[in-house]
Amino acid sequence: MVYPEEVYPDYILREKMKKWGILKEDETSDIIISALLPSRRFGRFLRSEAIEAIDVMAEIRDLRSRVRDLERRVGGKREFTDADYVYELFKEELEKKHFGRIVAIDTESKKIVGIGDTILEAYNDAKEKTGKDQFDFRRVGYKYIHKV
Amino acid sequence: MEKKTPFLERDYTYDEKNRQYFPILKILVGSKEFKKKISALVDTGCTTCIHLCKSYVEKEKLTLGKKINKEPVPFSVADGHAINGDLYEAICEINGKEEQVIVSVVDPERFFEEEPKVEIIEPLLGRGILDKFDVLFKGKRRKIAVFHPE
Repeated sequence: MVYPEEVYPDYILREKMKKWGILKEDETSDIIISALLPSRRFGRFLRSEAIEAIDVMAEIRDLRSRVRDLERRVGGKREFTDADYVYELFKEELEKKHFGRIVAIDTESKKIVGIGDTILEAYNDAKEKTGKDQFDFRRVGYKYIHKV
Repeated sequence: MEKKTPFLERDYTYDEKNRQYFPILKILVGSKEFKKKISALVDTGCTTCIHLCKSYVEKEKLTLGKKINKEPVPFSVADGHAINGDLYEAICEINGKEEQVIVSVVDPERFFEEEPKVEIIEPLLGRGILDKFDVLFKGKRRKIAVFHPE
C-alpha cells in the first residue's frame, strides 16, 4: 500500500511551526530547527487520495506461506540421508583405502557403485557399472564434496 | 628447451568497484546443444570444475546438462558455511577446446545451521578444470596463459 506524501519546503515548515507555537521567534529555535531539518522529514498525507483498506486475512495467509516456504528451504541442521546411511556402512573400509576420493552411491542397491579422483570419474565409473545416470556423491573422509 | 605457446592468453580484468585486477576468462558452458558465453574468475582455491550460484543460472537462463545427483550435495564455503547444491554433467569450451565437466550449482538459501551473508557469487573456474591444462599466472604483467598439457 502506497501513501502519497507531500513534503513542505523548509521555509514554509518554519513559518508553520512558528504559527502553531512549536517554534519561538528567537535564535535558539533557528539553530535547533536547522540541525533537525536535514535528518527529519515532516510531511502530511494528501486527503484527496483514497487510502485502500488492508485485507488482513490475505496478509496473514501470505505471511504464513512465506514462513512455510522458508522452513522448507532452511532445514537447520543437515538431515541424515539415505546416501549418508550407505556411506556409513562402508565408511571404515573406504577411509582406509580411498581417503579424499569421490564415491558414487546407489541408494536403491545400497552399494558404492563408482569411485574416482573427481566427480566425473566416479560418475562415469558408476554409469558404466550400473547403466543408471543419477547417483549420490560423497568425498571419503569429509562432510562436503567440494570446497569453494 | 622448446618454448610452449599458450592456446589462450588474456589480460587480467580491472574491477572498478574493488579497484583490483582479476584473472577472468570467457568460457562457453552448457549442454551439447546449447552453450552460452560467461565470464568466470579463475580460482585456484575452489576444487570444483565450474561453480555457479542458482540465482546466476536463472538470471542468465543457462541450459546446463543432465543433473547427476539425487539428493542435494553439501559444499563447504571458504567462510566456513555449508551449503547444499546440485551437480550437472555439462560441456565447457575454452577458446574452442571442449571439455566434459561437472558444473556445481549452489543455492545460498539452502544453508545449514547458520545463514551465510552472500551478496554476489561470481562464476568460478576451479581446479577441477584448471588441472586439465597448464595454467600460468603472469602476476607482474597481469596476464593469464593457458597451455595444452604435455
